[in-house]
Amino acid sequence: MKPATPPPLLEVKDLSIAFRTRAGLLQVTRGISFAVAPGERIGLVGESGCGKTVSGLALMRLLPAESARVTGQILLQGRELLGLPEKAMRSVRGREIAMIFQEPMSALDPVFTVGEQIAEAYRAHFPGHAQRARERALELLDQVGIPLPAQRYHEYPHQLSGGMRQRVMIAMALICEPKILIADEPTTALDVTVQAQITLLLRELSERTGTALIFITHDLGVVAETCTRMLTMYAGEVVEDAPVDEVLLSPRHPYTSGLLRSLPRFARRREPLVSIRGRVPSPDAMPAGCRFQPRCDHAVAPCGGEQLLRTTGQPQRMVRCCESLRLDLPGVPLP
Amino acid sequence: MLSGLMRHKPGTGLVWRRLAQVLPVLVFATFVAFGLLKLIPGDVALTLAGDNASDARLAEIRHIYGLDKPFLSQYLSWMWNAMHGDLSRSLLSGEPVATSIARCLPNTALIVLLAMFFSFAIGAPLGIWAASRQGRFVDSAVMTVASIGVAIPNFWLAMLLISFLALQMGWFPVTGAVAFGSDPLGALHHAILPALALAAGGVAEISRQLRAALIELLSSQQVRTLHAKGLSPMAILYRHGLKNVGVNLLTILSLLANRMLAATVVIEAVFAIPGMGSLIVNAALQRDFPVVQGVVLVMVIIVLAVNLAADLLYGVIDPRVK
Amino acid sequence: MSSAVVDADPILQVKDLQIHFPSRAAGSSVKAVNGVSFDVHRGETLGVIGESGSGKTTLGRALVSLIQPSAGAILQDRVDPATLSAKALRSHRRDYQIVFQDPNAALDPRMRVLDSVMEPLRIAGGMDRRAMEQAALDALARVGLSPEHARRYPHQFSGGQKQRIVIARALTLRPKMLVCDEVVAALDVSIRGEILNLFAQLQREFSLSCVFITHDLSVVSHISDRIAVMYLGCLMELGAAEVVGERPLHPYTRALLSAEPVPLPSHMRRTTRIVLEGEVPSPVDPPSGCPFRTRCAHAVPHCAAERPRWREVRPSHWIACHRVDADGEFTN
Repeated sequence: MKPATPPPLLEVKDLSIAFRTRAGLLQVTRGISFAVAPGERIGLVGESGCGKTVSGLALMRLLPAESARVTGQILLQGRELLGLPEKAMRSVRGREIAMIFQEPMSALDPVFTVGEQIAEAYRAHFPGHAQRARERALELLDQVGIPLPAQRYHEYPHQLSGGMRQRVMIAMALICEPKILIADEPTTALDVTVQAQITLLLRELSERTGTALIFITHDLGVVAETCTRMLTMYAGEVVEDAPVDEVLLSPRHPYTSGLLRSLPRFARRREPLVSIRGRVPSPDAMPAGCRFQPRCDHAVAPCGGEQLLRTTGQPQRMVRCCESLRLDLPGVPLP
Repeated sequence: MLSGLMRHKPGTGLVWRRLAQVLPVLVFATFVAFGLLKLIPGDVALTLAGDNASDARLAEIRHIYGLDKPFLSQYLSWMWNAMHGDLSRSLLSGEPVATSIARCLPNTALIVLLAMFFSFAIGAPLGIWAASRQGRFVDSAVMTVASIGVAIPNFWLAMLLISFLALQMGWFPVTGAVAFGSDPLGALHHAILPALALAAGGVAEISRQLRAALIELLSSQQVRTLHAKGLSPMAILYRHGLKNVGVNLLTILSLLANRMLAATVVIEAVFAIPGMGSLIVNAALQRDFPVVQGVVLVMVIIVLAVNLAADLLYGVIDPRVK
Repeated sequence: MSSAVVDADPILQVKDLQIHFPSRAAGSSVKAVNGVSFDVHRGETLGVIGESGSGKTTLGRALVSLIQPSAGAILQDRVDPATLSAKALRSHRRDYQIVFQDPNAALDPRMRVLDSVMEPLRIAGGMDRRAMEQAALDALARVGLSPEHARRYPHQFSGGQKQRIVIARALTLRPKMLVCDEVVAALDVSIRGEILNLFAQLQREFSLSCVFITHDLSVVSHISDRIAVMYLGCLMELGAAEVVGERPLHPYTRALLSAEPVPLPSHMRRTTRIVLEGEVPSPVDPPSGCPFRTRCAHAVPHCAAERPRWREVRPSHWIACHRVDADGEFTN
C-alpha cells in the first residue's frame, strides 16, 4: 500500500503513437505510462529511435494531426488533454505545459528580435498586455542569466551564441509560469562548458519556481545531475522507471545496465569497451514479446511472451522484464 | 519600419559597387544593340532620301548624318555625346531622343506599375490561401489557375480582354493612352486592360512561389516552436510566415519588374499605346539608331536601379543580411 | 598502461602552425589556429580535445594537407608537403588519411559499398581490377563486413556500419596516419564502443598513428595515449592521458573535466564544480595575452599583457599558463 501522496500533476496512461505512412500504420511507441508529481524532475532516457522525442511532442499535441494517431490518456491535473478541441489545447501550450527544443538556431524565428519573441509568448496567453509582456520578458532574460537584458532584448537570434539562444528559449518557455517544462535534448548541440551552465540553470529554475521538468536526452550524466527520477525507453516502450540514484547503482533492466556499462568513463583505459550487441529493431520489424530479447544476454523462454511494466516490490520502481528479480545486473562501477 | 531602416543601414559599399557595375553593363548593352542594328540589312539613308534618290544624294545624306564613318567611330561618338547628356535626335523625325523618351516612358511606367500591383494584389492572397489549405481542393485549384496563367501568351489574353471587356461590354477603351499628368483617371482607365494582360504571368509566379515558400516554412522547426508557444495558426501564418518569406517575395517582385519591362513591347503593340516598347520597335524597324540607343540606355538604367533597390531592401527585411 | 611503442622519431611535427581565414569584415581574419606546436609519435593515439571555436577541426584538416598553413609548418615524416611537386604530393599524401563525423555525407549514395571502398585504389592507380577488389574486400572484412555487404548501397546500412565502411575505405591505402574527426559523435552511445574498439584493433594491426579529435572528454581519455587540449586556436595543455584526463594542471582543462556530466549517484559525485562564466570569445578578435583569461577564475593582469609560453612543466607534460607550476599550484 503506497503512502498517501499528492495527486500527480501529469498522468500518462497507455500512450501509443502511430504514424500513417504509405506502407501502412507505423507504431512508434506503445503503452507509455508514467506520472509526474508537481515540481518533480524526471529524465526520459533512450537512444535514437526509442520514441522519446515523439512522446514529448505528443504530450503537447504537437504531432501533425493528419499523419499521427495518438491513443491513450494524458491527464493534466485530472483534465484529459487528448480529447480537447484545438482551441482549448492552444491555451494549454505555453501556459500550462511548455517545451524547448534541441537546436535553438532553427527553433527561433530569425526575423524577429529575441525580446519580441519572448514577449509574444506572454501576449499569446494574456492578450492586450503589451507593456506587461515587455516587462516580463526583461525579467525572464535576467532570470535565465543573460547579461545586459535591456540591450539583448533588441538583438536577433543570429547575433547570439548557442548558449544564449538556448537561454532565450528557456525564457520564452517559462514566461507564463507553466507547471511542466519539457526539454527535448536542450544541451546536445552545445559545448560541454555551456551545457553545464544550462543544466544548472534548468535545475535552479525548476527548484525556484516549482516547475516540473521532463528532460529528454540520451546522456545519462545529464540525467544524473538534473533529475530525481529516470525513465528508460527502448524501441518505443518504457522499460524501467526508478529514482536516479537507485537505478544508477542497481538497474533492474538489462538494457539500462548495458547503457551504463558502455560508457567510456567506466572502462579501464585502453581496454575494449563494452557495447550492446545488435541493433535497435525498426518499427516495422518488432520482435514479439520482449523487444530487447535479441540483444539480451539473459534471455530465456518466457521472454517471448508479453512483457508488462510491473513494480518490483521496491517503492516507486517499475521494470518491464520478466527475469528482473532473478538478475543481479551491474550498474555504475564504484570507484 | 523606419526604425528598421535606421538600424540596418545596408553597406554603402554595396551602393558603390553597384554603381561601378552600371557603366560596363551600359556599354555592353548599347554596343550590342548598335551592332545588331548595323548587322541587319536596311539603310535608313534610303528612307530619308526617298524612293528616287540618286546615289549622290544618298552619299550626301550618309555624310550629313555620319553614317559613312567606321562602325566603331559612330558608336564612340554616340557614347561620348550620351555621357554629356546629349542623346542626339531621331534620324527620321528630328525630335530629340530625350523628348521622345520623356513622352513615352510615363505610359509604359504606368502600365508596368499597375501590372505589378495587380500581380501582387491577386497573386499574394492566392498563394497564402493555397498554402494554408495545402493538399486540399483550394490548393489544387489555385495551382491550376497559376499554371494556366504562366502558359497563356499575354498578347492572346490581351486580345481576349479587348474583345470582351472593351468591344463587347464597353467598359474600357480599346486602344491608346492618356497622359497621366493631364488626366489621371483617364490614364488609369486606359491602362487597366493592358496591365491585366501583363499581370497574368505575374499572378501565377507570385502565387506559386509564395505558396512554396510558405509551405516549406510551415513545416519547419521554427514553426513548431511557435505552435509550442500556443500561438494561433493565423498569427503564425500572417505574422511570422509573411515576414520570413519577405525575402523571397522581394526577389520575385524585382525579377517580375524586369520581365514586365520587356514584355510591354507586345502589349503596347496590341493596345496601340505610345510607350517605350513601341518607340523602340518602330525605331528599330526603320534603323533609327539614336532612338534605339537612347531607349536601350534608359531601360538598362531602370533595370539596374530596380535591382539595386531590391538589394538594399533585403537588408531591411532580413536582419541576417548585412 | 598501453604497450604502444612511443618512439623518438615522430610521424608528424607541427611547428608554430597558424591558419587564418579572411573574414567578411575587411582587414580582419578568423584565427582558427593561432600558433600551435607539437609532435605525434609513431604508433600513438593523440587525442585532441576542444569546444567550438577551438580550431581542432581546422587543425585536423591541415594535418592531412586539406588546408594550407598561413604560417608555420607541418612536417609529415620529416617532409614538408608544401615543398613537394603536385605529382609527388599526390603519392605522399596517401599515407595521411582522415575520417569525418557524418558517414552519410562521406559515402556516395549511388555507389555500391565495394566501389566506394575501392575508389582510393582506383585513383592511386597501379593495380588491376581484380587486385583492387580483393584489397577492398579485405579491408571490409577487417572492419567486420562480409562480401554480401559489399554489394549493397549505403542506405541499407546503419550509422555504425556506414562509419565502418568509411574506415575501411580510409585503410585501403595503408596509411601511416589516420586523423579521426568526431567519428563517433553521430552514433548511439551503446554502439560507440564497437567503433572505438575497432579503431584500437586496427591501430595495432596496421601500426597506425592516430590523431583523435573530439569534444567528448570521456571518450578521449579512454582511447588516447596523450591528450592535447585546445582553446581558441591555441594549445593549453598536452600530456599523458591518465594525467590530463584525471589530474590536469591547466585551469581550462580542469573546468572541462569538471563540466562533464557524471552519471553517478548524488552522494558519489564531486560536490564542487567549476562553472565557467560567459562564452567562448570570437576567433576573429581573440583576447590579448592568454586567450582563456576572460573566463579564468585565476587570471591576473599579467595574463592580459603577455601570451603564456608553451613550457614543459614536467617531463612530457606541457602547459600554456603563467600561473600554474608543476604541482598544479597557482604561483605569482
